[in-house]
Amino acid sequence: MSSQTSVQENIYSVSTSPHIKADDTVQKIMWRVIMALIPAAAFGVFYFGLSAFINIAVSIAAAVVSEYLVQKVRKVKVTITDGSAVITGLLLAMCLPPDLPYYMTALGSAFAIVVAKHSMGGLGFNIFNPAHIGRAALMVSWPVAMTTWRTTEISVDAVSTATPLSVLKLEGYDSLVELFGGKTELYKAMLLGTRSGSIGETCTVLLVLGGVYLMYKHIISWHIPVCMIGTVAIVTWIFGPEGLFTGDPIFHMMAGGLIIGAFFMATDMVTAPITKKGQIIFAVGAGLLVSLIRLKGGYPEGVCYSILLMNCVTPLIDRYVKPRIYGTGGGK
Amino acid sequence: MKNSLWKVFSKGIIEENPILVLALSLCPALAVTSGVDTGLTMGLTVMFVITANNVVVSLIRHLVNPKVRVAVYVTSIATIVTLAELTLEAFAPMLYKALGIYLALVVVFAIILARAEVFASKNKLFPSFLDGLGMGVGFTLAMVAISVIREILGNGTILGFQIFGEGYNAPLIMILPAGAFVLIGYMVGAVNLHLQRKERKMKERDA
Amino acid sequence: MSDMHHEEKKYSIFQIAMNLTIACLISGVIISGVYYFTHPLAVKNAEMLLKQSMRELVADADDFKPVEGHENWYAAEKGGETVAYLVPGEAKGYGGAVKVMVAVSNDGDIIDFSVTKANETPGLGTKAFEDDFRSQYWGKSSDTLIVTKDPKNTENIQAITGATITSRAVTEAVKEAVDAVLEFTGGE
Repeated sequence: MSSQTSVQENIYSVSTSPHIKADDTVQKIMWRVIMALIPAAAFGVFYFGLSAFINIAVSIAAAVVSEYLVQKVRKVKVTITDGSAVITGLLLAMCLPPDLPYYMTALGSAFAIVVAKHSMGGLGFNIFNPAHIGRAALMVSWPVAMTTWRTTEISVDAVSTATPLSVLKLEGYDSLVELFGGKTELYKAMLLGTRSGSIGETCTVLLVLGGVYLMYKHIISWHIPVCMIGTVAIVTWIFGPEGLFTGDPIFHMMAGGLIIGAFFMATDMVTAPITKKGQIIFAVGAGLLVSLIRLKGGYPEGVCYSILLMNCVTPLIDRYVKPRIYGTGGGK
Repeated sequence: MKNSLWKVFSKGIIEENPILVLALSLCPALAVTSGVDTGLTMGLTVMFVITANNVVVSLIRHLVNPKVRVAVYVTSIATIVTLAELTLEAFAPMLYKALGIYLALVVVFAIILARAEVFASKNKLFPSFLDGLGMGVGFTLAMVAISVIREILGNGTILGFQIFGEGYNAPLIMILPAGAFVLIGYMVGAVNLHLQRKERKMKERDA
Repeated sequence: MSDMHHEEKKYSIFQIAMNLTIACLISGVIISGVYYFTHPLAVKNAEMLLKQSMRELVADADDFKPVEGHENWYAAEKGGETVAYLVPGEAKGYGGAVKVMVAVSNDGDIIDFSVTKANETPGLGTKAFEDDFRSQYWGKSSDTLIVTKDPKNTENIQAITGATITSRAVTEAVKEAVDAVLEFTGGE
């Protein structure tokens, strides 16, 4: 509102970095992120089949179409080619169960774009990560469908319709290990993605690869992923099921939406703090919340809500952790 | 004279609609609008309380010491609501049970105190009565509009009657406060847009 | 105007306090007056509602008498003999406490129950209050009150998909009531 008009009147220009912007730079970043996500998404399609592919397609299509419609109605420039709607659609689909009815996916995607992105002011002005808002809205609207997972063959004689985290929440750690037939089998399944879960969350190896690629291209920095995942590992190790220091940090680091959330959603430059110190605070806060929800909360998984809650706090963090004014301060 | 009295009544319906324009009393708009029955009942209750309170405040406006006027107005509102509670408890127990704790909460609805302070304390009896009534009507209309949308989308029913049939898989977000918040946000936006357009048209006409 | 006139006046604390006190006094008098007339009716209504809800649970009882020594317990009588007990139970649900009122027969079998207070997810957890879910409990006794997810298990209580916590809370609350009755009657 007033900051927008001030920018127009050239009185005082406020924006997040990078400060030198050109349309194609935003586009380049977006498409690189999409490339980083494709391996894990492809694995999801390979492992879960046609419905996973259709869900991804529907989600992306719904996101792009709703963005087009909203921008037409608002009589502003149509920016569907900048890739941001595609990313939101793709990320949302990767957090959904593979067999979710397609109309739900479409509605969730539209909600993410229309409500979380454009009603909040459009790209660069949104407070919350749109994909996660879409997922939260779907979770609240159709809780049964959103927790109906694909039945997967865990081992030769065990079949499960629940994700590892929900087994952990409802039946305990020992049942979880028993289900997979031992700790090594559990870790292997978590690493490679041969287990039940959302379309794009399961293959740890490919997600981490994508994240490392983004770090290599300087699109994200290591601070948020490392601090968030690290915090979860430490806290879940300390507050283990059988007393202090009996937790399984390796399992928790790979479980649920933590990897995809930490690398691709918590790092979203619009909704995360500007400074490195702020980002660390953000990541640790998110990690603490994830651990709290996983260990004590009613839901088996809490990455989506943790990141959204920290998104609320980002403006506050930015206020107190001021960026160093260019030209002042210690040398490097 | 008649024209301006009509204005006093009608402004509460759209231009100064308590929920959609003044953004007052959003709590009940979120909490009791998951069904048309509760939304309508709450709307009518509030309409009764605002009108009655405006009448009382207008009657005593010269007797109230301005230093304690807010406290006196609140006392008046609390008395009216308590009387409503007692009456319902004795003569309409089912309705009383349905309203539950929300009946007592009517005391703190901002719109009632606001009208007392802004209008009834400075105007004569009949205009105050009309102002309260108009605000009450506007409030009830907004409550019903919100409830209708929430109940149809979130439950597939209206006043308990199935509209969409058994197969309708309702998005539960609509019967939860989160959905209500988003809905009310868009409704406020729509009303604002309408009022802005109206103002622009009037300016063009005057120019 | 008269408002400006007031601005210049200086009020003493006494005047201010008196003004408010009188307002409160008048309010008090009006309320107590109305209360005096409406309260007896209100009490009768509350009793009637309670009897009505109890009758919905135990349809063929003649009368309901409070049980001595146990608050909120009622004995349903038919022909002068106690045929069932109406007993409250409580457990922690998804959104806070779930309170139930259970009608238990003399042999410790569940006749029916109703949920008196709960704050569960509308449209999901609230399914636990409806006939489809409740009918599972009819005729069951305390030891079969376990929640299961196995659709083929008809002996225990089937959880509602997506509302396991609520299902468990209701079952625990009902079990608490049934066990209390068993203890009271010294029964099996």
